[in-house]
Amino acid sequence: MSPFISLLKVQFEQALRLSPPKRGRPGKGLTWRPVLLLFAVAVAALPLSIGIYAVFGQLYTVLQMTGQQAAILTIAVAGGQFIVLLFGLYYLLSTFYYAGDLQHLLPLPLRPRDIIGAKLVLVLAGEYLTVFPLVAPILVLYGVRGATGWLYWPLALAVYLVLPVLPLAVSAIIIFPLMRFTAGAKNREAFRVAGSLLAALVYLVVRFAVASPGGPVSGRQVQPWLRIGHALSGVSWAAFLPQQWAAAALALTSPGGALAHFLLFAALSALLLVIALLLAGKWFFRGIAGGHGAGRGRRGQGKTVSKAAFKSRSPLMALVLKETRVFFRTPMFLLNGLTSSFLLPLMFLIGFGGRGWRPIPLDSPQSSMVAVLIAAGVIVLTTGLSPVSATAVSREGKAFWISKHLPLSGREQMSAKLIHSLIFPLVAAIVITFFLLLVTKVPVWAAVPALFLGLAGSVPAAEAGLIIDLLHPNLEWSDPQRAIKGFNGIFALLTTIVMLGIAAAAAVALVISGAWPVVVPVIILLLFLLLGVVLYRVLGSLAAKRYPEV
Amino acid sequence: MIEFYKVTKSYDGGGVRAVDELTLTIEPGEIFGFLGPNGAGKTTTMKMLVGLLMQDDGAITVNGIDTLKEPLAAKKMIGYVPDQPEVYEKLTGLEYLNFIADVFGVPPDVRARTITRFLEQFELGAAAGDRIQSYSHGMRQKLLLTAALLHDPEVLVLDEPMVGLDPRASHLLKEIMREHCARGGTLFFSTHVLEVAEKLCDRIGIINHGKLIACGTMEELRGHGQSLESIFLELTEE
Repeated sequence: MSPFISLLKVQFEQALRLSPPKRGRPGKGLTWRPVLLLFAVAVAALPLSIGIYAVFGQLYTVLQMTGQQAAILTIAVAGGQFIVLLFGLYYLLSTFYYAGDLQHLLPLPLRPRDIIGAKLVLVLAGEYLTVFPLVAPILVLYGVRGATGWLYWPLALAVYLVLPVLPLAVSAIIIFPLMRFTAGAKNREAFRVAGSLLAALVYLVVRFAVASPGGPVSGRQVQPWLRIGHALSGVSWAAFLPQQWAAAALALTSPGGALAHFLLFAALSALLLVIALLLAGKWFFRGIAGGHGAGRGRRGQGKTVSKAAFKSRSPLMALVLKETRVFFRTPMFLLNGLTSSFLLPLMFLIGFGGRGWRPIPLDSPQSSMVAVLIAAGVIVLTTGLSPVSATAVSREGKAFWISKHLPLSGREQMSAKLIHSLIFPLVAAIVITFFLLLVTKVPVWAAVPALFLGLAGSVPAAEAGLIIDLLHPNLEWSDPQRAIKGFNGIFALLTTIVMLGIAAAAAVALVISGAWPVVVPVIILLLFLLLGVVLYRVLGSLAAKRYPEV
Repeated sequence: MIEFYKVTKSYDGGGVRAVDELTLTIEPGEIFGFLGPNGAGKTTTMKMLVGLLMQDDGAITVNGIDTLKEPLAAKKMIGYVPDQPEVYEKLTGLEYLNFIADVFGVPPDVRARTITRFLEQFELGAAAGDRIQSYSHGMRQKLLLTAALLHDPEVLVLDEPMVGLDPRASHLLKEIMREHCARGGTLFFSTHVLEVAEKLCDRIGIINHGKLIACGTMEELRGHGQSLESIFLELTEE
């Protein structure tokens, strides 16, 4: 077996955890794992894919009236590429620079291109899995309802395969120089987090601000979701955007035109990939040369420790402080936390409104109630999207023995993790509320209840995440991204969506029964509080049982 | 005092008996060395004692407190250093020690005194403000030893504590171990360095395939004038 193939095999085994350490029985118990994993992926992704299929089915119908149904293809490609770019930044950082296996690989007689190639294939495979449940339903939908010939299906598969290459190459073109030129910096981790976030933000701004040439579409003239479609597809109709070529390859009726557009799309992707590989070859090893350690102060300077350094805290506060320090100082944790709590809501808000935000007229108690409920729902959803709670135990990794050894109950330790998990939703909720106040001119009297309702709903959402992680923690990781990107986060998100669905159903039932508009948010608040108390008790009991077992 | 009574622990659904009906008592003021080949059950025994693993059967008590029935009370009396120095890498050494002091309820003046003393003795003072991720294996080991001693525990459990330590630190650790027992503390430690066990321990236990196959003072084990190495090799021969 060639070194590259052998390395690739090991990388995949590590990523999928196909080789659990089974004392005394090497090799046994391995076969069921990939099957279970695939099943878990399918179960987790299916509701999302069905939902996308249904929503885009309706969008297709509306766009068909104006002959613009091919816009859903552009949305699929553009959306998929945006996700790949965003997560690609983190996957690349994590796989290339923060993986624990580098210290084992570097001393081996492997060619740089073997290491780079194997890691890139691993990242690419991860991206295929990430975008599949989002992009595949739309490609299938268009194939079923609008495909003009047999060529559509092989081209759709080819577009899906090429789709992540371009944004991944762009991510690599950002990451490799960033890591190279911050390698010697004293606070390189802070630089790297800031640089990665800045890159994602710049891309976000370019996507939605610069590339959108058309003016806003009046909200009163068209259906809201047609506006979303237009806002997103408008981006793609700007000249020189590869997703337009990909969409044209699938939508054009002439095989020659379709193939030509696909070749353009594939050629640009290949060109950028070659540039990325060249940069990787040149800068990857120099980037690691700085190590991924924190900038170390000069030792032996006889620094005197002040009395303040020995300040005493309660065990609960000590645990919260420890959680927060570790989270904020681990670049991959922080990047994922910031992305889910700030970038994704921001993307959602910008994407939803495009450049067509108008002050929302809250001229009736009913419309005010709906605005409060929707804003609160977005805050709760942000908590569900955040990996902070659903990875709280997993993030401890091999240092989990410390938590087990501490003379503190599992309940107390989980309480600290709950408090820490609510820090991000709290800040995100304030940002979202501020955004609503500033941009949509929602009055304060409507925004503040939304903030409180959203935070009340965030408590059970975070508790559900903690329960899921406590039941199935992943402590055997050497790459922090693996700790934070497990299936627990997906299950926690699904749980939050179910919880929001129940809350929405309750709200609708109350409205239908003629409840006074002010009463509806109050009852939803009580529902969230009740759920929070119940789940807190479950969490406490479970922690007492699980901590000694894990 | 540490007491194991018919303690059994199996892995892999009972397929592998890591510890098999272990019965052992370690008295206060005693340094007890735990020897055995790799995979013999030393680390599993220690992990059960400190609450990282639960035994399948039998009972473990620390100063009369059952580790399963009152785990928190038992943990408060134990200082533990694992075989692998895995710590929160993103904290500084000082932050980690303060964290441990907070959860073990060590008063500020006592912790300031103890931390300063051990950091100085282990020559870690200059690195105390650095993140642990920049520490060498030996420095992490020293940090964990300091953390284990911080709350002045009655029972010290050290799993191969000499690994990674430089000769000076190793010498210092032996002094600390003797002092701890001279004050009436109990010390249970594992090692592969037979010379250390021979010189330091009041009693030695040898475990193999989960069973305690020999236990006693050096004189008792020696019997026929053999060295500890010969005894070890003879007893653990497959």
